[in-house]
Amino acid sequence: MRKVTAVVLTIAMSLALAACGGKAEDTVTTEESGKTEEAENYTIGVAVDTLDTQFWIANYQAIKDRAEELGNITLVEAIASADANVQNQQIEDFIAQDVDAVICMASDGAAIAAAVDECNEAGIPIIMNNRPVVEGTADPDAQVLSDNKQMAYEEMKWFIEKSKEEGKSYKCLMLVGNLGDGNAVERRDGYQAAVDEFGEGVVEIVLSVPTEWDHEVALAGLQSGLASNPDIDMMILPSDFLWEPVQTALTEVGKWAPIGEENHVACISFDGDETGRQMMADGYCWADAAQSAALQGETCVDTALSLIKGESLPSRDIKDSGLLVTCDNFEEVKDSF
Amino acid sequence: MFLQDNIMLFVFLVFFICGMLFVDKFASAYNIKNYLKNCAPLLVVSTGLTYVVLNGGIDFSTTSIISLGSVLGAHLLVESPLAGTPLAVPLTILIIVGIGLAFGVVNGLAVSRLKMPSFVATLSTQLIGAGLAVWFGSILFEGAVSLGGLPEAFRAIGGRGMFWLPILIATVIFVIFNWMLCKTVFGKQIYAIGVNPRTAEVSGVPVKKNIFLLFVISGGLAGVASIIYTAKNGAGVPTMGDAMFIDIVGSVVIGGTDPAGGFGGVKNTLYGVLFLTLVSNILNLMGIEWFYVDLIKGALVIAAAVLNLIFKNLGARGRA
Repeated sequence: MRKVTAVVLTIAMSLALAACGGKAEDTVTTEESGKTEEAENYTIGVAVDTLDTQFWIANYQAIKDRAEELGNITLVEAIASADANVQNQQIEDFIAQDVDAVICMASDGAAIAAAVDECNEAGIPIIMNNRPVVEGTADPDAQVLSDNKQMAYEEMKWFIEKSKEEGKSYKCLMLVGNLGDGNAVERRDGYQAAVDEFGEGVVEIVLSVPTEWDHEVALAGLQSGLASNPDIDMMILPSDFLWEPVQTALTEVGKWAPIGEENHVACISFDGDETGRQMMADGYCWADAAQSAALQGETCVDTALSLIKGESLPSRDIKDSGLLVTCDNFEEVKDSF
Repeated sequence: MFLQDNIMLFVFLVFFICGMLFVDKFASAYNIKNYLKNCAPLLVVSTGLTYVVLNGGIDFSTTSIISLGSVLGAHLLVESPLAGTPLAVPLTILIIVGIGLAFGVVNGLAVSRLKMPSFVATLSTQLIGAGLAVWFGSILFEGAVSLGGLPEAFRAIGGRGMFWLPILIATVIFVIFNWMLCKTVFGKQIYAIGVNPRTAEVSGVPVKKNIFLLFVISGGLAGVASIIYTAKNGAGVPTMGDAMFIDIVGSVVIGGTDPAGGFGGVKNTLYGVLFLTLVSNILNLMGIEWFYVDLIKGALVIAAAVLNLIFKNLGARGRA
């Protein structure tokens, strides 16, 4: 019995020590920032959806770098592993910790409304990072977003004009992200709008394949889509995250070939992350609408700081207009995204 | 004997006291309120699963009942002709519980009448339910996967404006199902079936009927949990329950209910729910970097399970 009691107490002591450890770290941060200037110290909760894409990793790193650069910000973080219910609980825990602001990469644009309401009631500013709240369900203090629809529209418009110049026409498969994600909906709408407006006789979207932002779902949809529509010679990727299943599916049907080769399938993509950059460099991708992960992360921290200080923002939605990278301008702009 | 049967309560109390003493903001009213609110739906669904596990079975379909109930409930409340009428909330509640009961009936018939292993039967219904949730979501939500904007009267069930309501619902369910297990003939029969179904049958216990009822209870309570989760998150999400099974089964087993059946109970599950939710809450409050959280949580759960085992063995030796 004594041994068992000892085990229980050891676990409890470990917890207590860990708790004390956390507090000590906070003190160090405070002291460090105190050396630089007599700025007030703030704590910001960062609610992360997942870190399984290069965009999110770069975005999150930028948040950490910016906080370190400013010196008076302590970040507390939580990752939801794409579970909306868990994310809401984590944000409630941020509120319990009395954080000064919350930066949120939402797992679900509708379910996050409950956490936004909680933050509003607690008087804690919440900034949506890259993914908006579904319109009309809640009112976040700020949203740092890519101008998804416009970027997708401009990219498709460029591709159609390029195809007209070359006298080509395409039958297109459009991959669609998770429709609970406002970004996915806006990108789909932007591509579709440009095709409706300019694409007659040049680009025909013959199939939309839902992916739920999941490689397995995307691959299964691509395989059946390519089997039932063997004449598909163009693809729209709503994120560079989806290059892997696209490459696998096209390789299986012998169509993974760079621009200029006989079996080439023309692809345009979105994000402008490392994979997208590589696909542009290797000649598999015609255009990539690059959003700046780092800029958006930094803007979130700066916006949080402004809101904490009670400053008003010019508008609730802060849009990153992005950069259209094409096979024509890639060499010029490859170092700027 | 008391300590052996309630070791997880002891572990929970030690952790709770440590949280109060050493974790900043843990003892705040806001945090305690949220902690209890988060325990509520998990306790409801885990209570139902406990009945099945006491029989030596498993019910995977609980997670898809949560998801499917969430999707159909949100649709009924926001987009259907029922939306906005006074009957919307009560009818939605009945329909979601009905979905759970229907799954329970199918599982119960498959296991008790068709003699399918519960693992196979409920895995099948879990897959069907998860598929239906996504399918209905894609059809019903007009181009979006999730649907928010649920009425305030429904969101109150999840604690919005009335944080005590989900806690009250979970408490009532716990008291009823704990009483059923401990004080009724039906409860004693469940333990008898869990220990040895053949002996129970020879003794005149209606084994098939009781096994059928266990799955109906589990399905029905998963439906109730679906209502609370959906109300709490203020949205219908087709993947709402997908990642919950580890917490649900973890609460039952860590609490001390034997996965082989015949030992444990709803009271043990309460301890498991309180402990698992507490660990997540404390680790979040401590602001530990996310990649350490799962490691620490896993280690603490293993430690708790080992303690449970040690006490059980001590009890067995004591009795010998």
